[in-house]
Amino acid sequence: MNISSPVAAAAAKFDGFDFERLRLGETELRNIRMELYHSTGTGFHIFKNFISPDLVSHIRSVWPKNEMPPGFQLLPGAHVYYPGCPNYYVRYPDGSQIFFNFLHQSPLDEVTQEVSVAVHMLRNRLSGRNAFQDLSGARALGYRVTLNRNFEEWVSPHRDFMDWDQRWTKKGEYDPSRLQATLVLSERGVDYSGNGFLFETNSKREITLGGDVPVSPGDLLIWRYGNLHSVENVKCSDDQFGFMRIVYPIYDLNESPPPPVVPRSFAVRVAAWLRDPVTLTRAVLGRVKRALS
Amino acid sequence: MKLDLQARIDAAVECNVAPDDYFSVWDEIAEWQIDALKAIGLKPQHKLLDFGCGAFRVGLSAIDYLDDGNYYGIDAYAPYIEIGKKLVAVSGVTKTYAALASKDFEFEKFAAQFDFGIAQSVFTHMSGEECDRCMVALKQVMRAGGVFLFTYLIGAPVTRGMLYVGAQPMQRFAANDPQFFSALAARHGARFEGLEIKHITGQQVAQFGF
Repeated sequence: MNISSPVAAAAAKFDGFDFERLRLGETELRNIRMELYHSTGTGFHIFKNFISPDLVSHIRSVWPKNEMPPGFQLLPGAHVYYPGCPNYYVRYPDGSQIFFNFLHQSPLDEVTQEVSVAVHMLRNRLSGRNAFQDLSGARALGYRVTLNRNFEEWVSPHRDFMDWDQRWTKKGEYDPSRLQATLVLSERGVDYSGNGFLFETNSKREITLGGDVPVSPGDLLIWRYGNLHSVENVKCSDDQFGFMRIVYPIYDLNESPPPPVVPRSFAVRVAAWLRDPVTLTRAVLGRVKRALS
Repeated sequence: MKLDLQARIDAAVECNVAPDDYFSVWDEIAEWQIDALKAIGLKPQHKLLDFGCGAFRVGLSAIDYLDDGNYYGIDAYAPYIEIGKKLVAVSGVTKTYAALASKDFEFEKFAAQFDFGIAQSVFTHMSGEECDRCMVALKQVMRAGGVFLFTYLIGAPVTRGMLYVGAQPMQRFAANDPQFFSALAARHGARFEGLEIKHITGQQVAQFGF
């Protein structure tokens, strides 16, 4: 065999490619961490054009359909996540939809899953975790494809992983290194109006995604999970697409499925609703919101 | 000697370390460590070896408590030493101390003999072979009559190798023998003594006597 062949020459071009180069370099890592965590930083970092317009277009087209996707189940309530649980789906009267996706299930969309795993690995790198930590297992990624259309208060202002009272009882619950990511798939002012995502910076200034912070579909926002954040006042006309994004929450999975709920007959449920339609409707909406928070 | 959480976060990220819960659950563990050391006899005039000192979690209190120059910290993860130096500077502590980044139990580089030592959640990150090498090194630097406080867990986890903070290769302690540390002490001419001090995260607490 002639080792000076073009094949050998081509192989030489890859000389120096190694494990370290598979991930964000130390200099970039430090700069971004300063933005995210330092008192002089903002608390967030935007990776512009993280995914291409082609991928944005694909993801926008594959998810928002008005039917439950194959392999999904309606989200039955809170605390319904366990190893092997199905992907879940919720649809609201205003057309808002949420798709809860776990890596232990076959993906509805390989593009979304491929991008989501990359986002999670990047988030892990930035927050000092192993690349595949929390992808699956007892604490697992459940990437959430969300389309909001008209909601006054979708997610109330709150912080995550800053629970001082649970610092000893549940490891990692008071952890300022935790990051969340938002893959932007809509354009504020074009696809929706109103506030959308609100975030408090490290200097306690409230900013609006797509307003104070310009973003475009395809941009990836990584942000400090312990900073106050909310999603509220999303407005959308019939000809607008809505506020679509993917977020990357981590779930503590239950060891086993929740016990089955004994079904009430249709007549019993209708009678209960007729007795007190307002309270019951609010209760159902409240349960759904709690399940999402 | 308390610094607020954001001051610790700032020091960590300036050294390119993500501020995980090591930095947030800080004061209570630091207090536990210094109280435990005082409970077994640490006084200001003693020299203290802080093995696995991290970013000087107990170091900040210990430097302040001990006479000038009596604190010696060593850690395998070099960024922690740099963070610790920043924290000492911002805390306003003016006493001198010695610190070293080393993975090889190079306690002798301090050129000191120690009255007390501490290893908080350090043997939990060492293999059995590393524990033996550590004892050889400790034997050289602990004074006769010196006491070394440490915490440990017994048990062999499935995942032995670990990548600490996504950056530093380490091992998890992996022995099921509850007599492991008493046998380790005996092999190196030291005495093992289990202590009744309750640990804040539920680890076992013991000391080696030299």
